[in-house]
Amino acid sequence: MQKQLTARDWILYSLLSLLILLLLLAMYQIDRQWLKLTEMETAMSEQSKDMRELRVAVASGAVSNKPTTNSTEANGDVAQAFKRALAASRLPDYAQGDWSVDSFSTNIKTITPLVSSDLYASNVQSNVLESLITRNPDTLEWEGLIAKSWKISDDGLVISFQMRDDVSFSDGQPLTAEDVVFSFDFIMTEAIQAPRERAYLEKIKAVKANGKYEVVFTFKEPYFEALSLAGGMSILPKHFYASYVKEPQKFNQSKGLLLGSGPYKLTDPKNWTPDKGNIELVRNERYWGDVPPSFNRILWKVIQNDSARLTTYRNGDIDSYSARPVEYQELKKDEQLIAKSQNFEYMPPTVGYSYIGWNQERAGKPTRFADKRVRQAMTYLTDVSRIIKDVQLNYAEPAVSPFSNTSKQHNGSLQPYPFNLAKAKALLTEVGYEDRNGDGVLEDKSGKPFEFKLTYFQANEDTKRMVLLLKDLYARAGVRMIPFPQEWPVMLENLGKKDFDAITLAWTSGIETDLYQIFHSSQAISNGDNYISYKNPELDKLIEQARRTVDESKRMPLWQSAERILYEDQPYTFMMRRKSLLFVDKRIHNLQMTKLGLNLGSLPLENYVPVAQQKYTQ
Amino acid sequence: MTETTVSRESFSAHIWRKTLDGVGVKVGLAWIALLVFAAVFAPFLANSMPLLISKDGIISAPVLRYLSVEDAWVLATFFIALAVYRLRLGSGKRILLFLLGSAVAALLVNMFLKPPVLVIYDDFRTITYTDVDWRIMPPIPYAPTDYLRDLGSKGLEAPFKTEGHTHLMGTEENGADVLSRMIHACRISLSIGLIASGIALFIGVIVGGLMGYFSGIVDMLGMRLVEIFEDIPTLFLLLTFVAFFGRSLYMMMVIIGITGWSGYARYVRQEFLKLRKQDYVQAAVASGLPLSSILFRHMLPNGVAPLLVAVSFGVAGAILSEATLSFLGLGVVDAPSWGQMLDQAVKSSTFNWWMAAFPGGAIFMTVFSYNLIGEAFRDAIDPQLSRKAGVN
Amino acid sequence: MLTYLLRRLLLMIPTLLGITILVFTVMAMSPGGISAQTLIGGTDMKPQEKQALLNYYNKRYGLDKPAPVQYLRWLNNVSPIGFTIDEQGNRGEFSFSKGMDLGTSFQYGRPVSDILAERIPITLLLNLVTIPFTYLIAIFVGMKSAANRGGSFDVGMGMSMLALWSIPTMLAGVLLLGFFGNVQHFQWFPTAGISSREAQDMPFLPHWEQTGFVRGFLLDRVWHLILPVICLSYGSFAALAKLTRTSILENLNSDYARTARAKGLAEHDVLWRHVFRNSLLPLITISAGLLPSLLAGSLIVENIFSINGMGQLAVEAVKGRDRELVLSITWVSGFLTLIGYLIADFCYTLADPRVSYD
Repeated sequence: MQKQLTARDWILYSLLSLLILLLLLAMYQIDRQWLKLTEMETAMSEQSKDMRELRVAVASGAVSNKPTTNSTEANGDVAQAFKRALAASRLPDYAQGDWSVDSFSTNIKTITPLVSSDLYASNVQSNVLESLITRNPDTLEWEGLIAKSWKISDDGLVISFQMRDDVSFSDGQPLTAEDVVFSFDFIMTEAIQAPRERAYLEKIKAVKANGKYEVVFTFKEPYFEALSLAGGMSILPKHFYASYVKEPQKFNQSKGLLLGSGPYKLTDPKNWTPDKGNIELVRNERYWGDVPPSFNRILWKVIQNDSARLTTYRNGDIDSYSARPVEYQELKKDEQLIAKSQNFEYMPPTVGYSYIGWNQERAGKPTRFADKRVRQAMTYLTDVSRIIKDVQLNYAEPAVSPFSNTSKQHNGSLQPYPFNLAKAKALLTEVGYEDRNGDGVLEDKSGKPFEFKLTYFQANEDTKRMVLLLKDLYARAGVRMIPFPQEWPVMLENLGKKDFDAITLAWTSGIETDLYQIFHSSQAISNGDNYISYKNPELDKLIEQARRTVDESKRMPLWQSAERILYEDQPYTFMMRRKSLLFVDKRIHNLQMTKLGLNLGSLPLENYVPVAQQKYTQ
Repeated sequence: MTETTVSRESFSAHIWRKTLDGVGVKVGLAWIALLVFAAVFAPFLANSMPLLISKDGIISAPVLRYLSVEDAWVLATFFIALAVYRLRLGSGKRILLFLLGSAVAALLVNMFLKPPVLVIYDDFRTITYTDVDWRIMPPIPYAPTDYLRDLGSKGLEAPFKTEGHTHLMGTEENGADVLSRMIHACRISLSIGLIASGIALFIGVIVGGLMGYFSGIVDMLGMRLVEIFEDIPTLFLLLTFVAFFGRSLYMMMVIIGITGWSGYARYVRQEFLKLRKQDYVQAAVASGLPLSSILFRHMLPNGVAPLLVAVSFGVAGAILSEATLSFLGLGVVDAPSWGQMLDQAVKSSTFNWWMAAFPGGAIFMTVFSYNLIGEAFRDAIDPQLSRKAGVN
Repeated sequence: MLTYLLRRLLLMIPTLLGITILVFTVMAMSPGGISAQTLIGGTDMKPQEKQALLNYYNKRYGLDKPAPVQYLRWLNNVSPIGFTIDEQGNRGEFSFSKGMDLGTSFQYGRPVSDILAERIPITLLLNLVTIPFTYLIAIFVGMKSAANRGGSFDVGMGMSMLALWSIPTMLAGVLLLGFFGNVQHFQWFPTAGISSREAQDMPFLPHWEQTGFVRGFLLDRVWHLILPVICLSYGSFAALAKLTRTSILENLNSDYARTARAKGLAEHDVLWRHVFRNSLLPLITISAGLLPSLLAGSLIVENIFSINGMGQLAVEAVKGRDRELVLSITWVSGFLTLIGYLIADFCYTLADPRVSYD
C-alpha cells in the first residue's frame, strides 16, 4: 500500500512549514529587540557618565561657559573657524534637526582611516575626524580648529601648535597632545597599511608633546607645505586605536573602526560593515565646537545604477545629484526636477586636470613620443576647445599646465595650444613622418605606421566620447589611434609597468600643486608616478628648489619657470578642468559659493533644513 | 535501403512543412531574412560615402573603394551560398562546397583588397564629393561610426529633432545615426548568434558523442566536464573570460561558444546511450558491425532535428549574452552593436525612448524570432503535443 | 540510499576541483595574469613602500611562484584536510583538522569567508523568493493551457511567455524602475536596496499605530523585493509553463487517466486528483537547473536595484582580478548548484515512490 499524498496533506505540509517560518521570524525579531535594548543601554550609561562628570565639574566650579544649543553669544567668544557656521545659525529660518541623505555610486570597502583609499570614505571620515587647522573658505588662509594658535620657527623647520583644552572625543575622553603624537606614530608604524600617508609624512622628523596641550612638529628639511602637512593630519584617539599597534593585521582588515572628535560619530565605532548598504553617522552629542551641527544624522546610501540614483533623487530620497554635462543640460529643462532643486555649476579650486600622457620609454627603448616635436604635434591636434564644446558642453575650461588658472603658481601669459592641423603636420614631417604607401596613415622612416593605443578608464562615458572624438581628430593628420578601454586595476598594473602607448587620466590638484611626484625624473622608476618616463634636468632643479623655498614670494616665480618648461615640453597634453554640476534638494538651505567651492556639507556645517521642510524626525 | 531513405526524406520534409505551418514562425523567418539582407548589404544601405558619383565625366564608386575586407567577404559568401543553394547536390556536398567557397573568398579578399586604413567621414560632405555632376547616395547617408563631427551633432537627439539633417531613429550618445548603427549591428548579432552556437554545437556533439560512444570511464569523466560547465553560472564564466582576455568581438563569440556547449553534450550522450540499448543495435554489434557506424549513421540524422531546436534557442541566448556583457561594461567599444546601444539607454539617467525602443526592439524581435522558430520546430517534431491536435 | 548519497557527494569533489582549475587557468593564462601589481590601489605611493607591499603580497599569496604551485597552495588552504602552513609559508605536517581557509580578498583586504557570509544570504533570499513565485505562475499557466489545448488561451499564453523570455533583463529592470519607482509616473516601489533605513527602527510585523499604518520590517522587505523578483522571474516562465503543459498533456493521454475517465470520474477530478501530481515530477527535476541561471540573472538585477549580493560581488571580483574571491565565488556557487541537484533528486523520490536510489 502506497501512502497517497492528497490535497489535504499538501495543505497540512504548507501550514506546518508556515508555522516553522513564523517561529524563525519571531526568533529573529526577538533578537532584533535585544540588540535595540543593548544599544539603548549603552546610550543610557554614557549619558549617566556625562551627568556624573558634569556634576563633578559643577562641584569644583570649573564649568566653562561653553554654548550648548543655538549660540546667542557675542561673536568674540567664537573661534574663527566657526564664524561662518555661527552666521548661518543666526538666519531667521535656521533650525536644527532632519537628516542629510546622500548617495555613493560604488560600494564602500572600508571606512577605517588610513586603510581606506577612496574619496567616499574620506568624505565620511571628514565628519568624524578633525585636524589641528583648517582652511578658511573665504580667504583660503589656514585657521585653527583644534589648535588655538601656532608658531613657525624662522628656518621653517619647527612648528608648534597651542591646542584647545576643551576638546573631547565622541566617547567623552579628552583630546590632548598625546593623541596628536600617537596619530603620527601610528601612521609611521611599518605594519600599519598606510603607505600613502607615510610617504607624505616622511618629511617630519619628530612630533613631541610639550605639556598636555602643546605639540611640536620638527621637519627634516624645509618644505613649502610643512604647515598643511602637520596641521592637516587627522587626529586619532590614542585610547581607541593604540591596541591595534600590536594587532596591525586586525586594523588593516577592519571595515569600520572610526572614532574621532568631529561633529558626527558612528553609533557603534567598531562594527560598521559594508553589507549594510549604507553609512549612517549620528550627531556627536558631546561635540566641543562652538556651534553644534544642524543635522541629526548624515546618511549615505549606496546606489550604483545611474538611473536608479536619479530616480531616487527625483523621489526626494537623496539630497543631491551630481550630473554629467549632457545630463545636466537635459535635466535643466526638466520641470519636475527643477521645481525641487537648486542647481550649481562651479569650478572648485582643487579640481583636477585631465590630460593625455605620452609614454616616452617602453621596455627600455624610447618611443616615438620621446621626441618633443611629436608631442607638440599631438597637442596641436588635440582640439581641446572642441572637446570642451562637444563633450563637456562648455562646462569645463582648458588647462595649460598642472596649475589652476586662478592659482598664483600659474603664469597668466601662457595660452593653451590652439588646434592647428597644418602646424602639426609640418612638425610631423620635420620628424620624418609621411604617408609612404598611400593607405592614409603616416609612416616613419623605417616604414612603421604611426598608430598607437590610447588607454582609458572604461566606466566613464564622457571619456569614451572624448576618445572617439580624438580618434577622428588624429585621423585628419594621418595618425591612427586605437581606443583601448581598460578596467581600473588592469590600468594601474599597466601604469606600474609603464606598459602603454598613451593614456588619458586626471590628476587632482591642491590649492598649491607640487610637481615632484609626477614630473621629477627621480619618480620615473618602476611604479613611480612619472610613469611616462619624462626627464628634464632643468625642471628637476627648479622643482627641488621650489620645494625647499618656504617664502611664498620667492617660490612662485620658481613654479612659474617650471610651468614654462612643461608648457614647452608637453610631456602631457594638458586638456581641461571640469566644472562640478550639481542638483541639490531645495530643502537644504544656506548653500553658498566659497573659494573652496560649494559649501554643501563643508565643516563646520553651514547648511540646515528649516522646520517646515524637515522630513525625518529622529 | 532506398525505401528507408525515401521515408527519411519525407519525414524531414513533413517536419519542415509542419514547422512552417504557423503564423509565428513565418513572421520569425521573415524577420531573420530581413536581418540577413541588412547584414549583407549594410555598406550599401547606410554609409556616408556616395554609391556612385560622376565628376568631370568620370564615374567612380567610393563605396567600393572603401569596402573593408570583412564587407567584401560577407558579400562573397552570401552569393556563394545562393549559388550553392541553386545547385542540385546532396546536402553534405553543398555544405562542403559552401565552406570551401567562403574560405577561398576569405583568402582572395585578404590578399587583394587594400582599403584605406583611415576614413574621415567628414570629407564626404566637403566640396570634393558634393560638387559633382550627379551622385547616388545610400538610403541612409550616414556611416555607423560617422559621428557627424562637421555637422555639430550633439548626440542623443530624438528622431526628426535634429536641425539640418534627418535621422529616422535619432542619434546616439556620440552623435552617430542610430538607424545606420542598427543596420550594421545586424551583422554582429547574427554572427554572434550563429558562430557562438556553432562552436557550442560542435564541442557539444563531439564531447557528447564520445561519452555516449565509449560510455564507462569516458562517460564518467565527460559528465564531470559537463557538470563543471553547467554549474558555474555561464555569465560568471563569460565575465571571467572577457575580463581577463580583453574584449574583441571574435573573442566574445568564441567565449560564448565554449561556455555554452554542455546542454548539447548532455543531449547527444543521452541519445547515444538510449540507442545503444536498442535491440537492433545490440544485434548489429553482435553480428560484427562496428558500433561507431551504427551510432553515427542512425543517431545523428534522427537526432539532428531536436538538436536544431536547441540551437535556435541557443542563438537567442547568445544574442542576449552579448547585450548583458555590454551592460556589464565589457562590450565592444566603437563597433556598432545592439547591446552597446541598449546599454546607452539603460545607463543614461534620462530616458531616451528611441535608444531603448529601437535596439531593445531589435534584440527582442530577433530573440523572439529564434524562439518562435525553435518552438514551432519542437512542436513539429513532437506530434503528440502539437497545439493543433489531430492535424498530423 | 546512504551509498547513493555518498557516491553523489564523492562525485562532487572532482567537479568542484574542475571548476576551480578551469577558473584558475583562465586567470593565470590571461595577459597580465595575476600579479601583486594589480593589488596596489592608489597612484601616489613611494616606491620603497610599494616594493614592501609587493613583497608582502608575494609572500602572503605566493604570487611570485609558478601558476601550478600557486594553485596547489590555494587548494591546500581551502581544503579542510591538508598540510598546515605556518606564518612564514613553510609546509608543516599533514593534518585532518586544519580547517578551511578561503584566503583574504585582495581588494577588500578581508577574509573571503566573511565577505561570502555577508553576501550569500541576500542572493539566496532573492532566489528563494523567486523560485516559488515562478513555479506558481508557470504551473497555473501550464495547467490552463493544457486544459484548453489549442484554444486561444493556450496559443496566446504560449506566445506571450515566449515574448517575455525574449526581453533583455536590463531593459525590463530599467523600465520597471523608471515607471514603478519614479515620482513622475507611479511611485509604488522603492528604487534601491532590500530594505529602507527606517525599517531598522520598525517592529517586525505590520500593525496599526496612532500615527497610522506601520508596515514593519517584514512588509518593508517584501515591498523592496517585488521589482527585483519580477525581473528575475519573468524569463523562466516560458520554459516552465511549457514543461507543465507538456507533462500534463502526456499524462492526460496516459492509460491511467483513461482508466479513471472510464471509471466515470469527472474530467476535473481526473486532472486534479490524478494527473496533476504526476505531472509535477519533471518540474522538480528542473528546479535545480534553475539555480545557476538565477544566480546569473541576479548579476544584472542586483546591479540595477543596488542590492549587495553575490552577483555584484562576482562582477567586482572579476573586474578587480581578485583571485581569491573569484575562485571562492565560483566554487561556492557551483557547490550550491550541486546541492540543489541533490535536493531535487531527493524531492523526486519523495514525490514518486517508484524511484529509488538503492
